[in-house]
Amino acid sequence: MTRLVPFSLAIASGIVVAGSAAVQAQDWYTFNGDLAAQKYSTATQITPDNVGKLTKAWEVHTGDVSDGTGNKPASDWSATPLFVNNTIYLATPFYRIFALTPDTGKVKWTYDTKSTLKALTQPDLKTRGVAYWQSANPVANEPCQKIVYIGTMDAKLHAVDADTGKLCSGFGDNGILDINRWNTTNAKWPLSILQPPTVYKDTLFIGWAGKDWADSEAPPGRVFAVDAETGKLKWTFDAIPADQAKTTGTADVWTSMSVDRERGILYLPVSSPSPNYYGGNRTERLPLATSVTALNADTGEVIWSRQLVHHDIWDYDTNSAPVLVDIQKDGQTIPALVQSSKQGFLYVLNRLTGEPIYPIVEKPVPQSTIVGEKSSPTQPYVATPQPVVSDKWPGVFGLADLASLGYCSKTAAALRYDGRFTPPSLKGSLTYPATVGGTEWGGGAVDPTTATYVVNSSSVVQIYRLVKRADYAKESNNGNKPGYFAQAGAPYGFHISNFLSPQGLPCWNPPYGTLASYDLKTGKLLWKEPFGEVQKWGFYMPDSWGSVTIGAPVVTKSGLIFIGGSMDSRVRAVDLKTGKVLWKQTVDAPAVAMPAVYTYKGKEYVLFAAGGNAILTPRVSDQIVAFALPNAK
Amino acid sequence: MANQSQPLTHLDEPGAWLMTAGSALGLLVALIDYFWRGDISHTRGVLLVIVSSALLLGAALLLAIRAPHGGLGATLVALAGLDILATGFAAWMLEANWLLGLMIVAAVGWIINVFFDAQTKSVVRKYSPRLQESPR
Repeated sequence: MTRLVPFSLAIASGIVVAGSAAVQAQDWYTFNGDLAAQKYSTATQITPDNVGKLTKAWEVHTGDVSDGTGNKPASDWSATPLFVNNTIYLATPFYRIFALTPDTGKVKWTYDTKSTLKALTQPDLKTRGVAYWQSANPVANEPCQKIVYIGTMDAKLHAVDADTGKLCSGFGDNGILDINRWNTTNAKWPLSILQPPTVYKDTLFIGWAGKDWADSEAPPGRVFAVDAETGKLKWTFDAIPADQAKTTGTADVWTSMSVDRERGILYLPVSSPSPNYYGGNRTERLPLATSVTALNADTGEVIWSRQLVHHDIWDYDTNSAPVLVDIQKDGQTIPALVQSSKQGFLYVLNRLTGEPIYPIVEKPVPQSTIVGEKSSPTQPYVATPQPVVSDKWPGVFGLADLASLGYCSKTAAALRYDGRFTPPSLKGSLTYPATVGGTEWGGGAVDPTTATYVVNSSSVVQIYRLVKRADYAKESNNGNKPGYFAQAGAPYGFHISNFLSPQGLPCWNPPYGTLASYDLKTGKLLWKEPFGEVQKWGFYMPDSWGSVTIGAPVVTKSGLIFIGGSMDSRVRAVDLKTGKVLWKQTVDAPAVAMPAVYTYKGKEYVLFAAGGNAILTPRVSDQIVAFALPNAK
Repeated sequence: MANQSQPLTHLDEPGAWLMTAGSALGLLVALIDYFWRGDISHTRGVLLVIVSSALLLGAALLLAIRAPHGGLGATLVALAGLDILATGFAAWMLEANWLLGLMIVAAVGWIINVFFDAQTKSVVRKYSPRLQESPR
């Protein structure tokens, strides 16, 4: 762990909580519901007893969808809708904002960024939504006292009036802030703003996404803090030291952040450095890469940082906002955070110091045999809470092996596998957990009243294989074959594939996805159930197989979990106590965005954006759908 | 034995007609699912049940209108039974409950056809002696 600034300084500078986000208790005003990323609703109208009666209240189709067969890339719609200012705000993967009436879905206004719809840094058109700010001291009859922000793949941040949808001319350059103006080192591609900014007091914290698999030398993963009204730069944070930014890059914050509003601390999930799967160009210590890092929200100074993976060569980006929650333990109230991860560990830390509440132990790990690589001799392990995926890979799936006439077992035997953190190799390494998780960018949810933590996870085995530079162009057809990453500037390109049989069956044992609940007071697993259903050619596989998931759960005070996320295009309500599914509905595509739960005119709604994600299935949609009890008031 | 057949009326072969109704409605439901049921629309699985329902419809119509005699008739009855089982299983895997229900209807029709319909009963008995002991 790296401690760079005494905590007392952070307290002194950030203790004041501004009223700028004067939101109501049952608003859903950030990507994660609130700044603590708890994904928790105090609503109690929908309960485990009546959730079975939940019906569709309204739905809207935005028209912004592409399956990739036309002249646009496919759309990935991972946007959490916001409910604030008595309005639903959502971003589409074509970079438009929709403002909707909360009880009918009627469109109040739309705003079009007119952004280029090209896959500049990502394979698909994607967005994870909008952000919202409102002035603590609004000026009457002045526009832009409440602002909605949307980012684009070409690095433009647009600010529009939340009531009218008109650009706020005082922000950036006539309402648009070009983040790319600050892209000055290794600027090979734009700093795509796909994750909405995190808003705290009068500051926007902006991270970005790029192509950390494409180049060794990539833009360093800078976080920008800008004034919410003007777009003026306040401070920046760099996870890559300046003297190493010439040879590596990224270690960016491409996902959401969380904020301790009382203490003014900003928590960053920092991703891995470039290139993803070879570290010979970055053998110096990069202590802030693949970390969870706490900053003074007013100054950007580092308060503490804990590296979760040393010398990351697996693309184990820290990929979700840490969940902030106070835990009653041993007679004390501990201000804690829970950081979920692709590697399947749940890191429970004191959020003021970064010290672990449950032990984190350095263990020796398998070493790379690749010339030029220098893998870390140890990695941090967490035993409590129980990791969301097992330490050892699940083993060969007999059905797939039988159907493939032994292909799965023969392939497994030919690959390198030495347990967790097996490094990439030339002959191919069986990697588990792999970069798709564990837990993806949604992270977990928590009931703060009981410290019950809920998280969905995937169990996926992938094959990591380095390709000698001399062979790369021919083997990958100049990078045009799927699964090949150039890692330009490194002596090796890279190929990644799911470990599937020739028939497309997973070669590893199910379940492929689970939903689990933990008591954070003790670290104990309360329950763990296969979640979702795998679909192949339309056929649903057994419930016990579960499904790979993207997205996150939401927890309500009444004891329910709402979640989409699975391959089967269904959204579900789950009993928080038992993990049993109490209600499910089919929507138009996998609801990979986390839902929003809000109460409007006395009625509780659960809102899903069912947009799909090509990682799960090719099925995409433009549907936003609200569910409510039919006779509730 | 030469394949002989003779026109029948629905009164003679009620089981085959029930099978026909189940498969015809099943085909309709499968077509609706293929084009309009979001979670399974345009999938190979639904295409499969469209084809199998259509084949079952053809077989059931043949059994109802002009049931073939001899080995051909027995084969047709056996294949219709297998088709019902396979389509029903596929419907269960697709969670297509209407189609599954209609395959159960078709299965009831198939049982009636085998045990009670005049033409099929005689064919089946000839080619499956143990069935002669079955209750009437």
